[in-house]
Amino acid sequence: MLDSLLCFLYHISPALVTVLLGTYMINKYLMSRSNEASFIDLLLKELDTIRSDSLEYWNNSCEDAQGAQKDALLSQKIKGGIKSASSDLHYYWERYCDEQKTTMNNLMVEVSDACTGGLFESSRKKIDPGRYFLITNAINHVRSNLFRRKL
Amino acid sequence: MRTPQGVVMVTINIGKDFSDTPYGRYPSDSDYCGEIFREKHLVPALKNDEEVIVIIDEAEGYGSSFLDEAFGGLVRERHYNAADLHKKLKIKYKDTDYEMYDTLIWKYIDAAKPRLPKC
Repeated sequence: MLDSLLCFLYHISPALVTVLLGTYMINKYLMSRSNEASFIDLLLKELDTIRSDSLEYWNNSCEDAQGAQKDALLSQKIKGGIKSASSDLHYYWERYCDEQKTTMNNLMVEVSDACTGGLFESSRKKIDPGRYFLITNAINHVRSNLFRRKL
Repeated sequence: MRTPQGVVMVTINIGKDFSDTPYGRYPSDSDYCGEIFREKHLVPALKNDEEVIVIIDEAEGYGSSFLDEAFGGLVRERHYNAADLHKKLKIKYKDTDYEMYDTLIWKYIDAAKPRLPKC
């Protein structure tokens, strides 16, 4: 009885080990993909916040005290948001992407230029609805790159 | 200060020597704007030294408007040559989060065109 059990295990063990190893590896891969997708969702949320704050900033008049106060608050939020998103993207690219890091860096440069360029943080700033396309396009470039990774 | 190769160099740490929260383009925007940084720190250093090292990672962050005025303004307002600036100016940081600002600085320097005096 014991002999036949040992014989059975002897024959089945290679297949069993293969199945266990395969399950482990597939599980690890799926976990990694799931973590990556969650990370991408977080990054997309950060980018959405930068976009809405920037659009609000460039459509806000700083001619009265209330407007200037709102400008000061939004500009801090935008700068902080860009730095934080850049740092997170940096980590994401290092952790999950084999592509060159410069791709991500150039995309964030585009975002920073669009959101905080021109007369950003200047008392001469005027309402600039034209920046809408600049900001949206720059952020959409990053978003589409991230979506491509997620799908 | 001289390097071992005999090159006269100066180091400007934006966070320590200027402000850890620089912002704005013109003096009317703030006392820590791009134009003041350019005129009080960068231009004298570029005039007197062969190599200027700018440490950027001790300030909290930058708006592109500050960087454009401070560094792009060297070409636009002070008529420095972008190729000479590539030789003389070194941007340093340890924190990799600041890589984006380094790229922006060179982008503004390379894109700037000297402004002609008004007739």
